[in-house]
Amino acid sequence: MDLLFEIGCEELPAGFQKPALEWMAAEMNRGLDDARLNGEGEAERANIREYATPRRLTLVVTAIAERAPDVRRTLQGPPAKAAFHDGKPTKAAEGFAKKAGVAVSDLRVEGDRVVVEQQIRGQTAEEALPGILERIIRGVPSKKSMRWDALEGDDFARPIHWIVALLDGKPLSVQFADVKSGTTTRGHRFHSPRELQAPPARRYVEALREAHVVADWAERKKRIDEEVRRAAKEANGEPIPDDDLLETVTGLVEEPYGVRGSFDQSFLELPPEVLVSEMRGHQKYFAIRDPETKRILPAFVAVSNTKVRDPAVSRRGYERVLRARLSDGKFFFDEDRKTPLAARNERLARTVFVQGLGTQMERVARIGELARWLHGATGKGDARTLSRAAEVLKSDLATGMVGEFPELQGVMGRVYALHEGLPGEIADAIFEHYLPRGAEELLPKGDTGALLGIADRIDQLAGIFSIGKAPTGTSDAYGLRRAAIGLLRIVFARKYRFDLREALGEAQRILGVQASDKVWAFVQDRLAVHLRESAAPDSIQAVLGTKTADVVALADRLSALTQVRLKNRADFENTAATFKRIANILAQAQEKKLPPMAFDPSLLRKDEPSEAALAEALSRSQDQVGTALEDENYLSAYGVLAELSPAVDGFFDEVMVMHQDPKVRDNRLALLRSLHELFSPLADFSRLQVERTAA
Amino acid sequence: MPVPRDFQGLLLALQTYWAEKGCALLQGYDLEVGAGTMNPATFLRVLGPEPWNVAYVEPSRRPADGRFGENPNRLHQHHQFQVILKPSPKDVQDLYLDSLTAIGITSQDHDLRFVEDDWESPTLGAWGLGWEVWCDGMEVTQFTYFQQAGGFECRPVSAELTYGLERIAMYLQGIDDIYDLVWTTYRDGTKLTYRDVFHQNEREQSSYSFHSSDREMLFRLFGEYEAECKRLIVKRLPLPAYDYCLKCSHAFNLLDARGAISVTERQGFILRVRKLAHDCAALYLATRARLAFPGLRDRAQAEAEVQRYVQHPALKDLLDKGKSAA
Repeated sequence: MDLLFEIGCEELPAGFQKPALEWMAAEMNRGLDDARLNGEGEAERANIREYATPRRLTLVVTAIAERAPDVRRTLQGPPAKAAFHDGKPTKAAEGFAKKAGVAVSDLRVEGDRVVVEQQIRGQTAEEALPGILERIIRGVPSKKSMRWDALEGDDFARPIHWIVALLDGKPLSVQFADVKSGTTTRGHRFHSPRELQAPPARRYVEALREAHVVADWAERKKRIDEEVRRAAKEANGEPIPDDDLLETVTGLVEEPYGVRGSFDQSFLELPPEVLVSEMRGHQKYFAIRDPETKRILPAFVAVSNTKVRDPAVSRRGYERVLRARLSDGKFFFDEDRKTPLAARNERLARTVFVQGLGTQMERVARIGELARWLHGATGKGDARTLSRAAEVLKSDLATGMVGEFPELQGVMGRVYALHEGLPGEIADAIFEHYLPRGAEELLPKGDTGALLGIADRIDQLAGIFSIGKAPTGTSDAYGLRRAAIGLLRIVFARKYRFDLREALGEAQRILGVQASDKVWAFVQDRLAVHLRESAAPDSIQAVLGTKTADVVALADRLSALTQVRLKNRADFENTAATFKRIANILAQAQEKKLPPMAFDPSLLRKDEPSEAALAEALSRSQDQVGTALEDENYLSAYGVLAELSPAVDGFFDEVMVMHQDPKVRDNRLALLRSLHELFSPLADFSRLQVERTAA
Repeated sequence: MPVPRDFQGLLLALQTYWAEKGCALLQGYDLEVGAGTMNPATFLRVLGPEPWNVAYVEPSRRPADGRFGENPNRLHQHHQFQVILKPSPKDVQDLYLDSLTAIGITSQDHDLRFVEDDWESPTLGAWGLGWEVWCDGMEVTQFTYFQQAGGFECRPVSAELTYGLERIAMYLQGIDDIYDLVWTTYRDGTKLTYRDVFHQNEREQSSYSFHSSDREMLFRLFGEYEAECKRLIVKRLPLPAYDYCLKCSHAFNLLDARGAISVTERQGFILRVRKLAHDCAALYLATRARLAFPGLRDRAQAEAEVQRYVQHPALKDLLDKGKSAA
């Protein structure tokens, strides 16, 4: 059977629509499953499609089972002793039979309890769906919901005006607040204002299209994109790609019309980022650029929800608003440039960064100090430039323009720094220390910006952890996950070598808070997530087990391990399994509190030559491995490991480690310990999930 | 009704329209307020169960927005046209769109849009959901379904429509400078402009709030107004008390424009005003409940509502004390 379920509303927030829909579709699926109306096999499942516009949330479900299959179940009743006295049913038996909907004669005794077989009739879709639909309406998640009129109880993202619930064309009874489901829907608010007979479920999208509503999100988004391109072409331009804006606008119109407009050339003296922010931020206009030179043009495209009689009229409106905004922007730009960045720090000194972590100015001082420490640790950048850049790093937060458009932080700092004649390196650092922004690819190009960016994020991580606001499973109010990933991406891209754990400790020292390894554990988790794209989880854990906090070295070791594992799977697995065994033996020895002894060649037993053979092979390898590790040539170290493998196998085949003579035993443990320690910088093999395969 | 051509024609057209829709036409409040919402005809009347349908023009002062009469779009004082419909009618969006038609803005010619906007006033402890209404990309109205005021749930919910009159007038007159707005035309054909009416006021008020206001006096006044508000609350006089809450709010706005309040102190001042607003709201509700909500014509309903408010933890005390005092 086919279901059309539409919730008709006053204009819903753009950001609410899609998540609401996804939730509704999942809930419908769950509801059909619970009611056993979803068919048995994958092929028979009902097909759920979801649609949203600013004025409606819709589910179209086809191929719903007409009726759920009947099921039998056994219902447990009171103890037999209580239910029957001298073979006669008691009140308890009667009550149970009544509750189960059977005659007392249907009860039987099983063990010491009364039971009854119950035949449960499968509900029809018509019976089950109203309940499912009301649960859906009442459950739609919304960041903020509201009441309206004098209604008590029910609330929703915006007032609901109509509900359509039709099963194969037949109305189902659904109620929310004071709205009862009916059979009519509405088209476009202005182009199709009259009520509309709700179409059959399968014709929903088509019928709404005729009523000037493009119900399908993807289709509407595509239409908007086409409209914007078409209108941009009229201005000899192309839209600057902006998928976020496209998504937002898709939530703002039911049927899109692109209208081109322009602004005065003179505003082009504003930085292009400002122009784009002015257009997209408040106005939701698309900025236009020259297709060849990619330079921004004094033009835009607004997306109207209405096909107006004369676009020139609304164009004049769009242009007027933008003109006022750009004039404001120009005002900020001119005013901001009258005051040097450093002079704004006085205001930063009065602005709290985060409660408990001092002012913005104190934060900047910490970042500067930590960046200089990083300079010392990595040998990159230079201390003087770092200090100078740190001084003006966040000064643009106190400018009018960034006050108006927070997303221009860093962008304006660079523009203003260049304007007042600060060195390009410092100007770039102001911009670059914010990189990467989100998932964007752009990373710092210079050491100054990169080191300050790392310092900023480390300070943020250490600081927020210290005031007890570490992220939880669901919330990450201070964006620490993003900070950790950004930090790692910079370090990897720049190949900076330093001990990240120490750096976090240094940040805690500068903050004057207690040292804690929780932040490092958190960063390691993010690191593991970050590395998962290119390596197996157990390889990652094995490498993290080497205890180095130099993340570039970690990544190199991981890549060597991954290569070796892939190249010669069986051999490597055997070797790794052996090393795992060694680690276990050593761990057991430690548990038994056997004191670690130095290896003594004189204690080698002549009658067990494979012991001496391993000792010799090991002493031959020692230098080789040492050099390879020093050169960070991990593949070569793995090569030595492979060469040693037969000797190790021979040892284990022929020699008993836990020899009865404690001296021999301890000497053998010492031999294994040297072997273990030699290769431990490569990986903690005990963390690998490997099995010894048959030789 | 012909489409208005000048500023006062716009006011008249909106008043006429809403009067025809059954709204009582009130006047703006005679104290300094930052918005029509602060007028007791909105802030207090959206509380409690009594119906209330009004429209009025509110001259709204925002000291920090003053631009010495030099900015073509920003003013120290602008005018809002405020409509309160309580409870919010089902067809409130249609009523609103018709009001735009009445002032010459039709959906055939303009791109009209309801764009999500969550409204919140930290000083009033009030919030609501709704939209900013766009006409060709310009915000012309703030449309809010009041959910809370003074920290109290609004039952029923009121719809608040706040039209930005200068903006709309500029749009209708097709001009880019606020001071060129035609207010009206004299009998001899002279056009009286916004500049003639308000320019000097804008210059002087900006100069006052940015340069010449007396911080010490304003801080002192803030304290005195606050004390007076509290005293009047003890005296069970919610409306006079609320006047002093408004005076506090304005003193705060002046100090803020003057840059006399640091970022850290700011929150503290806001909370002090909010506390006053909350106490005024509580006392107003208690007083109306004691009067058995005379605005409700259905006495049985009124009695039920009184019972409900008596149960309210924030009001119980006020009502009990009130009884023993009486």
